[in-house]
Amino acid sequence: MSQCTRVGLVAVVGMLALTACNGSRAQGGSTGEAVRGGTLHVLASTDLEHLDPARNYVTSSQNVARLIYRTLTTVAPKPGQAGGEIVPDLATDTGRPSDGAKTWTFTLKDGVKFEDGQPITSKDVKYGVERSFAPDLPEGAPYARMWLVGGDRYKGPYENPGGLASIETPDDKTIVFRLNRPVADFGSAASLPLFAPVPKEQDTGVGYDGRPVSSGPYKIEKFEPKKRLELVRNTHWDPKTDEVRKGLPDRVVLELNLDPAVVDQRLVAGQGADAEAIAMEPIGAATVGRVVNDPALKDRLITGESINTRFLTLNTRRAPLDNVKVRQAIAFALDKDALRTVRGGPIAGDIATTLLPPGLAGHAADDQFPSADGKGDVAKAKALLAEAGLAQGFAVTLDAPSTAGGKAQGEAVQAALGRVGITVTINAISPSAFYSTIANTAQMHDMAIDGWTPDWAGPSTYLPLIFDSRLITSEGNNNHSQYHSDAVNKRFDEIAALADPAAAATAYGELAKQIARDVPVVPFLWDKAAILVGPKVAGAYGHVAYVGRVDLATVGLRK
Amino acid sequence: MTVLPITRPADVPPLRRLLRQPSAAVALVVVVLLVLMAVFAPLLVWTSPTEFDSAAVDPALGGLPRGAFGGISAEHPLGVEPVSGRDVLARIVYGARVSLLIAVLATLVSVVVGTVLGLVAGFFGGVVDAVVGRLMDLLMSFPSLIFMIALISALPEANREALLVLVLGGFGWPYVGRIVRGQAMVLARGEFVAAARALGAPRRALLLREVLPNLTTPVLVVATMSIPGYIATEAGLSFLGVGVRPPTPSWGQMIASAVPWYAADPAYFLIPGGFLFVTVLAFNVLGDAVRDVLDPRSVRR
Repeated sequence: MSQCTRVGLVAVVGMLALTACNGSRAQGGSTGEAVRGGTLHVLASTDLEHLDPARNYVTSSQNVARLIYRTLTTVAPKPGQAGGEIVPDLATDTGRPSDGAKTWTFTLKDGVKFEDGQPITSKDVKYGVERSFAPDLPEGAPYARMWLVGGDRYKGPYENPGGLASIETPDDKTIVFRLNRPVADFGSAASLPLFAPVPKEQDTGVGYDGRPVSSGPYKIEKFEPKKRLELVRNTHWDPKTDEVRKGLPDRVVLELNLDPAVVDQRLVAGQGADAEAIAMEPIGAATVGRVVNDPALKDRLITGESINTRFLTLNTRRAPLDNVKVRQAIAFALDKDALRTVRGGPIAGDIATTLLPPGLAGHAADDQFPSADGKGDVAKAKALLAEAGLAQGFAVTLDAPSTAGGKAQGEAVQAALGRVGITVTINAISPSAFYSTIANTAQMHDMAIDGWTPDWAGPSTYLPLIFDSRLITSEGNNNHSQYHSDAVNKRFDEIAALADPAAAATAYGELAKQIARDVPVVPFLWDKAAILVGPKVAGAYGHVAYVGRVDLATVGLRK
Repeated sequence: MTVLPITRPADVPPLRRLLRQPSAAVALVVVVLLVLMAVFAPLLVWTSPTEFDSAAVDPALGGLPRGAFGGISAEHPLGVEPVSGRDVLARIVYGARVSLLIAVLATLVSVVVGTVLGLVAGFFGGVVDAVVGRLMDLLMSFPSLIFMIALISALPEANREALLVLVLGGFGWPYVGRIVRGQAMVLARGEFVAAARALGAPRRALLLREVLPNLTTPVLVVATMSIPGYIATEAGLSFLGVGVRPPTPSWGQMIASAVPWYAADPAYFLIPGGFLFVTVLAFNVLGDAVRDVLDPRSVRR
C-alpha cells in the first residue's frame, strides 16, 4: 500500500547519500547545522489569503501562521509521512475523549503567553473557536460549526456575546468541547488555526486579519498585504513550552506575489540576502533542467512529500458528462504523463491512479483506467464514446487558473481529449478567484483543473468533503463534480460511525474504488514539491501538511 | 501648408522603381515568402501545431527538449516547445497566419473607417470636421495599449481574433483619418475640384471621383506602414495574455511562454523572436520604400 511512498523516500535518501559522496557540505536537507540568529527570507509567488485564525484555511497561510500562533495540537515537525502525526502544542496532550468521543478535554501547558506577556488561558482558546462562527469571518474550516453542540444556531461572539455553551472552561487551564456526534479525530482537527487563542480585548474583528496577536515565536512587525510580511521575535514565547517550533532566525521576511520565474532565478543565483532565502512554492518546469544538471543547485533542492492529489473534475450534472460512459472515456483519454510534465516532470510527483494518495491511511492500490506510462488509452476511450453514441465527439469548457501553469495544464487536457474528438475550450480564471468560481455551482463549467489535500493526514476529510452530495451548496461548494450517489452517502454515514480509525480507513479505501468507477474526477498526480533554498539555509525539509513546502517553524540559517 | 500636386512620374512603373532599391527588394521577397508561408501553411507542415510529442522532451529535466538547440531534428526542423513537445515550425507557420491575418484585417478596418471619416471631415469641414476631429484626438490621446487590455479582458469571450481586429482597427483609424483629412482639405480647395463643382457635379461625385482617387497614395503608404505596428501590437497583446487564446498559436504567446526558458532553452526564445523581428523589419522597410516611390516629396538624397 505504501510502496510508492517508500520508493519516494528511497529516492530522497539516495539523493542525500549521493551529495554526501560528492563531499558537498551545502546540504539543505540535513539538520543540526542551523544556528540561532539571522534573517530568513521567504520568496512567495503566491499571496497569503488570510492570517486571521478563524479564516485561515489555505495550507501556505497555515504554514506561515504556525510561526505566529499556536493551536491546541499541531502536526509533527518531521519530514515525510511522519509529519502527518498530530502532537500536542498549547495543550499537554492531543486531547482526551470521553462519552464515546463526544466530549473532548484539553489541558493547557504552564507558562504559555501572548506577545504582551499575558498568560494564555482556556477562555482565549474558547473565544478563538467562537470567532470562527461569526458570519463576518468566513472561509475558515467548517468543523467547529459542524460538530459542536448548538453550533448550527450560534452566530459568533459579536452577535451572541454570551458565548457557546458547548465549549466549557472550568478553569484557566482546562477546555472541554461537547460534540453533537462521536468524532474520533477531533484531536487532529484541533491542529487547525481556528483552535488558536485570541485575546478578546485585542480582537479587532475583520481587522484582526492584518494583525493577529502572537502566541508563537514571532510577532508581526510590519504587514503590507499582497506585498510583504515582516516577523520579529516574540520575546514572551518560551521555547521550553514548545517542542515543535525552533524559532531559529531573529527575523522572517516574506515577499509576496513575486513572479515565479523571478523567484527561481533569484534562488538559482543565491546571491546576497537570497542566500538566506527559501522559495515558498516548487520550482517551475523551466528551472528543473538547470537544477538537475548542476550538483551545487541539486544540493539545495528539497523534495517534499504531500498528501495532495491533483485531478480533473468532471461536472456530473452537465450533458454529456452526466453519462458515466463519457466520463470513463475521458478518464481513458487523459494524458496524465503530459500533465505531469507540464508541472515539472517526475520531480513534481507520481502519476496518480487513485484519489487517496499513497501514504495516506486508506490508500488502496487501484487503477481502473490503465494505460502505458499514463499516456492514455485512445482506443478504449473511443470505444466508450461510441457506446455512448458520441463517436463524432463533442465540445466542453474547461475551467483553469489563468496562470502560466494553469494554461499549460489546460492545453495538455485540450491536446489529450482532442485525440478522441472532444473539443476543449479553456476558460482561464484569475487565480485569486479560481476556487470560489468553481465552488459556485452556477459558474462551474464542464471540467476543472482541481485537487484536494485533506485537513489532516487521514481519509476522513477527503472523500466525504468532496463527494457527499448532501454538502453541495450553490456557493462555497467543495463537491465540484456535483457527484450524487445515495449509496455512497449512506456508506459515508456508516464509516463515520465506525469507532476504529483503521477499520474506517480501510472502508474509505474500498469506497474510493466504488467512487472511481463513477469517475466524478480523474486523478492525475500525487504531488511532490521540489523547493529551492538558498546556500545558507539549514534544516529545511518539505512537510506533508503544507503540500511538501518547507516547514517554516523549524528552518534556520547556518553561520 | 504648401500645396503640391500629387502626381506619379509615368516613365518608370512603381514596382520597378521599388525593386531598384536592394533593401526594398529583399523586404518584398521576405514579405511575399511570409504571406505564402501563411497561406499555404497546411502544405508546408504536416505536424499539427497543437499535437503534443512527449518523446521529444525529457520529463526528468522538466520537459526540456531532447537534443541541441531546442530539439532541432529532421522531424522538428525548428525544434519543439519545451514541456509539450509541440512542433515549433508548425506553430511559427500557423502563428504567421494568425498574426498576418489580424494585422491585415485590422489595417483594412482602420483604412476604411479612417478614409471615410477623414474624407468626410476634410471635405465638408465645419461641424462634421469638429466632431470627427475631436473623436480622433480623443482616441489618439488614449493610453491605447492599456485600454485594449482592459477592453479585451472585459468583453465576452466570443471570437478573440475578430475582437482583436476590431480593437486594433478601432484604435488605429485616427492615424489614417488624420492624414486623409489633411489631404482631403487640400484637395477640396483644388482647382480641379472647383472646376468639377462649377460644372455642376454632385457632391458624391466630387468626393468619389475627384478627391478619393487622389488619396490612394497616402492611404496606401499609411496602410503599409501600419501593418508592422499591428503585428507587433498583436504579439504584445498575446504576450500579455489577452491576445488569441490557446491552443491557437501566436508568436507573441510563444515569446511569452519562452521567457522562463531563456536560460534553459534559448532557441525557443530566439526562433519566434527572430521571426517577429524579421517580419516587422521587412514590413517597415517595404513601407518606407513604398512611400519613397509613391510620394515624391520624400525622395531620399
